[in-house]
Amino acid sequence: MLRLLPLGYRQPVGEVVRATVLRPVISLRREAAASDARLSDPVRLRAERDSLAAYLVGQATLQAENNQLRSLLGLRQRLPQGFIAAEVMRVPERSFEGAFLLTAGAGEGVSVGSPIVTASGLVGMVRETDARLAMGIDWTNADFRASAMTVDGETYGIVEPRTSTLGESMLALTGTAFHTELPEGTLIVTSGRGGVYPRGVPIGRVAGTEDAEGGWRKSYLLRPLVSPAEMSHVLVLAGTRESLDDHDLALSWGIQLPAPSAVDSAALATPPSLDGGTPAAAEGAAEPAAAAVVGPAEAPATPAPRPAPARPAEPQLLGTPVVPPDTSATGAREGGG
Amino acid sequence: MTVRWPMVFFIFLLVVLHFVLRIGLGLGPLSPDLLVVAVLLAAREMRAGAAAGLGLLLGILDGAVVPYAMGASAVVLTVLGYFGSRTKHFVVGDGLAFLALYIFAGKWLFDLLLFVVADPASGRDIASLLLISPFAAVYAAIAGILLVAGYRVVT
Repeated sequence: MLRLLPLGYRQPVGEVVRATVLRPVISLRREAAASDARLSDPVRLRAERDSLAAYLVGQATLQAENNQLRSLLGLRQRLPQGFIAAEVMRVPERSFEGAFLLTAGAGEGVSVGSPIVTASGLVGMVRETDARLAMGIDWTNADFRASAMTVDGETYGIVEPRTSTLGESMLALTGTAFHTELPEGTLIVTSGRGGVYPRGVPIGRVAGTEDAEGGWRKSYLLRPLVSPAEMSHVLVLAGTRESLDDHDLALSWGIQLPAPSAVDSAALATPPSLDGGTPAAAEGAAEPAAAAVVGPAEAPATPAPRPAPARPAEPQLLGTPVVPPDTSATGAREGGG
Repeated sequence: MTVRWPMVFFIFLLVVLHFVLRIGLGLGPLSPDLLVVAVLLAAREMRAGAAAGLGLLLGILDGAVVPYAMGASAVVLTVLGYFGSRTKHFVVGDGLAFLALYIFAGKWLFDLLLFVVADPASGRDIASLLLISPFAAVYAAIAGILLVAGYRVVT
């Protein structure tokens, strides 16, 4: 009976059950996950915290400088983004292949479509959220697809799950151009196209050629960077899908990508139709320049799109910063000096 | 039919234990499938319709914490409850040996029905049904008879 119901009708039933009868169990799971995280590996966590703190100290000056330059250029600030730590929970003998529960929900900032990553690379994405729980799929799920490319940006394709002849879970990069040849070990990252995953998240390395269809396109087998056994504790990228489109996360994994195509990334972050124009902060900086060229009477309501200068990707951090960068204080100090 | 409250409490305890161990504490396969054990044991004490209703109710609870499988457990546990109740008409007795066999068969049947009912995209394969499910069924049977033995000692 329930099985015949469309998914849209089944979800509310599940939500109600989780929010009422199973609420104590879910709370217990969240508490247990938090305790596990605290007790699992304190030495490693302390080392990571120290590294992050050192990294943040170094980034604070660059952040302030970046803010000033963006302000001068009339670009609005990139939307803030963070990572939400969560534990993956699979129900034995019941779960679908590649489907799991996350011990963080909409209350923590997880939203539908949020990418899920680990320190090694891409895991999957969030498909449903409750207030305290979310459901997601990883790359072993049959529905998983990701637009991907090589680090040099020369080859693009779609990554989808495969099972090797030995029964090993792998990935395949399909639809690549026939004339390109990817050597074994080539790193494949998300391309950011299609608006599902942000650009620059590592997916896997080429393990060999899978297929060459009709002499006009090739498929490659990929060895994923995140094995299913590593998917116990993950990070969910916070923010809306639109805001994630603007981000290049390659530097988080120490990868230097070529500059993206010339698009005003700040304008893409929030479409003008949503707020009727540029925000006040950007308008203040942009209007004098427009007036100098066109004249006050002819200033358009919405500035025409302009190519952005090629910029290096803004470094992102894996994990919630232990010491949030105090950019305002740094900026004021620099301004005063 | 008189209600045996200790039995009701015992079944309730099995259900709570199932969710606490599997979901709350995240023990996964280390915890036996006590939900199926609960339905099977309760079905022996109930009429077929009521057992099917209990299976449906517990199946909805089960499906609520399994991504994209809402309804599969409900269907299977409903069927299991119905047939579990019907076994009273064929086999009379409640010896531990019979209960162990009953739970073993019921748990394996549950996995088989779930395999049939579940979406083909679920990734389940026949190999796990033949290789892993029997062990899970044995584990559930052992846990079931231990719990029943404990229940009988207490009551």
